[in-house]
Amino acid sequence: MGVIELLRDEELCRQIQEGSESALEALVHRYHGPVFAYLYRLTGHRQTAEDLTQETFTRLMTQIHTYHFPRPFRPWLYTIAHNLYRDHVKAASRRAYPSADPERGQPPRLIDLSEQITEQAALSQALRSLEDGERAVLLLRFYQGLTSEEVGRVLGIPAGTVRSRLSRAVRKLRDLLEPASSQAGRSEAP
Amino acid sequence: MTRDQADLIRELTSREATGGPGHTEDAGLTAAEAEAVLNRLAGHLVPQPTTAETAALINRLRPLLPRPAARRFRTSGLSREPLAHFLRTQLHHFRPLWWLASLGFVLLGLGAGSFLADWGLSPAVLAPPLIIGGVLYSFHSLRGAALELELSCPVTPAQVALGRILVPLLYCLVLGALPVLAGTITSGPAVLVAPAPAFLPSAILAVRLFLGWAAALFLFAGLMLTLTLHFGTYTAAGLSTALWAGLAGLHRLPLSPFSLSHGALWTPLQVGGLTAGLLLLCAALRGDRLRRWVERRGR
Repeated sequence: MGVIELLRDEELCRQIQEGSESALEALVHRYHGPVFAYLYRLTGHRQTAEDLTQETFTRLMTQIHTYHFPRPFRPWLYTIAHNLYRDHVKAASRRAYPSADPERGQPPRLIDLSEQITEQAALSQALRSLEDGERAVLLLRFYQGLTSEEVGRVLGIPAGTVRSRLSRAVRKLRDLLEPASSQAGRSEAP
Repeated sequence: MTRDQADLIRELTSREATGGPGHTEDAGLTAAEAEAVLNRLAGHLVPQPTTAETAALINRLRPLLPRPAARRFRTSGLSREPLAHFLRTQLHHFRPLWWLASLGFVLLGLGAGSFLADWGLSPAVLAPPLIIGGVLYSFHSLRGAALELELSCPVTPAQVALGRILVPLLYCLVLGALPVLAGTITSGPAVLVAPAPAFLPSAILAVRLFLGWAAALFLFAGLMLTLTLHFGTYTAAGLSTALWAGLAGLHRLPLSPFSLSHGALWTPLQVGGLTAGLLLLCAALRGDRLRRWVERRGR
């Protein structure tokens, strides 16, 4: 592991501003997977997620001069990714093309798949059943590890709204994924 | 359960997240339920980009890397920026405390004027500590951020240093007029320049006294700047103060710059001291060391 990989994201950003290739490599290695995972879970479509990931990093590089150290890097990166996703959704609806995920908006239905992938399908469907805002909050807070304040900055909403959306999303998922425990919990309630 | 997950569960089950005290019970979320949901979500797998895909992305981004900006401005010598402009800019770095402290020091020296005269010391003995303090203050307070700002303007490091040294130098020159005038008025020419020819008018004697002040000032300013660039501000101040103390201790010698008794070689020696100070200042402002020092401070 090189010394550059020990640097914080913000320091890498500053190095990139000065034209450092090794800092660019370290930052892309660090965030290619997470950004792709975020966009994949948002879109549910691999090719779209790949395109948006590339576009996110391209946008990052073209706007790198606007970065001011020591502004937190992760919220900035995910703001770029999320804005691109929003633009993509808008453009798709304007063109009246089917969205990247044709099943969005429909109630989740069970898919008859093999035992090994049933769980993954159920999770994917459960995530897709969430509203856009709820899903984004859950992905950023839970999978990407941002704080509620950072998620609020990415989505342009107050941290309190982030927490209530997150709670609503998890309650919906509980009802979808753990209906038995949810029912039991309610019946046990006094 | 990881710490992050525990925090998240706490957040999910907090009163704020569940909608406050008036929220309906059936929509609430227990910690166990939240944990169960999060555990299942943690098992959601997504495809990961391959190493080749990451390498391809890096290759696409490489041409977008910013090129290190070439320096737009001169790095040595003096640019055409008018002297008054960067002098005015430098004034912002000197806090009121410094102006007042310097003035206070001179006034204190004036108060002790009769003691100095009793010991055979010229008022010029006050000049070195004054300029040592000034240079120490101006160069020590040259913080990285301020310097970065200055260097982003079309001035050279030499101009930054020149501005920094000129402010205390000019102020000390002005302050020097105070003890000279006061000495001339209160003590009279006989006390100030005892062996001077009696026919010299007091105005000329005052000029000679001011020359002594200016010579000490320029000599120690040049010395301080040169030593600062080589050894840093504190060492420079220490060495200069030691030299000042040594010269003050030798004031009984007729050729001492701080002596009240002006021998025949006194004036040429003062002019020599003044010239040496100017040469030291010019050499320091032109040298590569100045550029290296500025770069070191700017980091």
